[in-house]
Amino acid sequence: MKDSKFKIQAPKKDEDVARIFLTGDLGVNKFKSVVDKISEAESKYENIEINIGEVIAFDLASLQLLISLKKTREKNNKKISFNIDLSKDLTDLLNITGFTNIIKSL
Amino acid sequence: MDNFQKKFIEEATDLINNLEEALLSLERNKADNELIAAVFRIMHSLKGGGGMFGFDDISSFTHNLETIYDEVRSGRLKVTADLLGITFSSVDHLRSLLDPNALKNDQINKNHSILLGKINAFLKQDNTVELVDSADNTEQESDGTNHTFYIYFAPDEAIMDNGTNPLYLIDELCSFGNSLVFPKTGKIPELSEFNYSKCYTAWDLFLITPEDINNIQDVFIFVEEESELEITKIADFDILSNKKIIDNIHERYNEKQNFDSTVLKSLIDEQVEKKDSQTVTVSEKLKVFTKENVISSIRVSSEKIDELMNLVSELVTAQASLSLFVEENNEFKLNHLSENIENITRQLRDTTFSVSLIPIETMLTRFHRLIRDLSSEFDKNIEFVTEGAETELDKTLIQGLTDPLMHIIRNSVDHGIEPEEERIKKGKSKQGKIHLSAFYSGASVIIKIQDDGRGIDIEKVRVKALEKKLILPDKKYTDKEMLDIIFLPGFSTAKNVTDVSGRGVGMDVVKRKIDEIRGIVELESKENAGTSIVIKLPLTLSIIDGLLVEISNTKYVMPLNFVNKIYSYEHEQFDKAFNNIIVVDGKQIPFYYLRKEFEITGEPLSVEYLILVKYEDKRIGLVVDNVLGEYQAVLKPLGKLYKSHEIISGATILGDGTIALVLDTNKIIHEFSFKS
Repeated sequence: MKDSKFKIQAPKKDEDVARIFLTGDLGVNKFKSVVDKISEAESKYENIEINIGEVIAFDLASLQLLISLKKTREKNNKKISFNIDLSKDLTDLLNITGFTNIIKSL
Repeated sequence: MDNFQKKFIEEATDLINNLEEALLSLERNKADNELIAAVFRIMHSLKGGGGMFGFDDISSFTHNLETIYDEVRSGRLKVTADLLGITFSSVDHLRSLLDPNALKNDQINKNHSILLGKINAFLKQDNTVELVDSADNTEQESDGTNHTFYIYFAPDEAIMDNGTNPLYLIDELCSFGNSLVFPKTGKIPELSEFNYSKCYTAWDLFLITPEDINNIQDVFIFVEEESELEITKIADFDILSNKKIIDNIHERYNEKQNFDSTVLKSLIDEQVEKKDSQTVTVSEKLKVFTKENVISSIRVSSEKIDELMNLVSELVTAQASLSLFVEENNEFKLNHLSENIENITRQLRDTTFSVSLIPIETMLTRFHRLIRDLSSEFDKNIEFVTEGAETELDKTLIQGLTDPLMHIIRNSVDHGIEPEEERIKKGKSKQGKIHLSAFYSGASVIIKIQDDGRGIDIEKVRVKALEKKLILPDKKYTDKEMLDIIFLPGFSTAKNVTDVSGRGVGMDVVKRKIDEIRGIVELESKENAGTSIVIKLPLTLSIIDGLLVEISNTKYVMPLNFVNKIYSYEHEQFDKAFNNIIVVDGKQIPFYYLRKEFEITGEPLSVEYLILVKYEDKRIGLVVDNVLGEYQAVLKPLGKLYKSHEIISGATILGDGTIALVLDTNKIIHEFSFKS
């Protein structure tokens, strides 16, 4: 089973946005370290961009984390944006389970 | 291996054990739908968990089995002996697969292929499969008309711990037809309070399907007990075709209003034309289960319980020191405080003990299985009956007891119970019986294994014992003494050594193992009537309520549960007693004068104490210098030098830091009576 891959790119010189890249298996059992690192990044950077792509699996835990992160940023008046690119199967799963609009509104 | 995988192995072990238990019951009642459903559910959980936690071999293997049992569940296949045989073999194989590297082992890999082949043969409906006539299938068929169901599903917070992904449940549910799904994410906290393994989401869902409400409920079959689930048929038509209703539902969702089946009904009533509304019924409502967020039990590692027991043991010792200090200093306030601590310590001790007690039923499944397999191997017809399965024992005792009991049961099947023809000739029922019962007796637990087989031929035992020079040729032995010889090392009367028993390393090992857990084993047998083995065990191994006594300034502890009465006598009365018999309350009581038996020199005291202790069904006296009182003894093991001294079962540290030896009164009496 492939692990999730996680990378944080600190803001470049001419930008103020930190980029977080999430790929691979985003299932709950591979996810603990990701949650810790995202929490750390959340408090450290004023502007975060979450890039999610090449995901082979996700579950409710990963969706809940994104929503929690969004809530936290809003409360702290910090910026966050999401770029999510999922396979057709996963997009269908989001659609069926009612999460499409929620994810779009992130 | 990560923590999730370790947790899965723990849970999968339980699931496999439960599967084995359910299969054994199913074998007795092949048409029991509840058992079939239970077997299917367990396989489904194993499959789901296996896939989730990287045990793909378990997941794919169980998937095939599950497919067969799904056919059984739906009534298209029948449970047959062949199917059960394969499933039992699969249960054993699944245990092997809990090792992630299992398939690297050639033998396991070979078994894997063989079993998969057999399972596939079933799936291809070969000749061994008994197909059921479709006319027998009484499952409710749908009438093809679409209905609208409102479903509220709030999974338990811990649902993801066992590998369930709620998204897939919703996905499966929606595969029944068209749907309108509203996740409720309001309870998802901010990151500082976020726990990635908790489920914070609930769903309101409208499902338009011709399926029956029970089929919808089946989707939640493995999670319904831990979830809030409401399934209500709100209309006998497709509400998606009514724009006003749908707009209204969206509006309510966007305004974060709660849905409610009654509100939905009136909403539908308002929006639908009068004629249509008359056809709308809220006829079926299934409030499946609403669970408060109360955790009724938790899983704790046995290491933590051992640690807790050790700490309680240390506390008991420390409390004894405190009591002694208070006694010596005689301070009123401190005395009161010390008594309180003593009470609390005792309660804590008892509660901790109860935590480490587990019912003996946890080991019964493997005995059921053993008897099933051996009966088949030896072509014997045996019924295994258990009684008192709820009786609890310390987990260490259960661990120590399993192997001896397996051996006793093997002996019963192999040597005890006769084949059917032999039983019929003897006028017995053709089915033999092995009865295992467990019950409390004072501070002990008694486990009795009784069979109605051949019994033990005492004459054969005598011949064998003489041959092996285990008895003296001229001495007369009682039947009980002859039976006890069976427990001597190297004794076996079996004509043929089999895989099951008769290797000559049987009952002596059983006795030694029972001795190791401070138990007593006794055997009774009557030729052609059967054999009965009784094992008497202490409830716990680490702390005992004892009687603190003294002989020549050395302190000893006797287990209080064996003490019956205490009397004081002049030393002269013991000295003059004929044949070590003293009259107590008008009855003659044999006694052992421990000062003499322990070879302690020095002058005896003028007044000494006779402690009556229970031994088998008798009372025997043990004479000591002084009785100091009750004492909670924390048992500490003795070193190698004391290993051969069976009469001492351990040592304990007293409040003043000195050591007292804990006496095994049964062994004392046994040893000294043998000497005399």
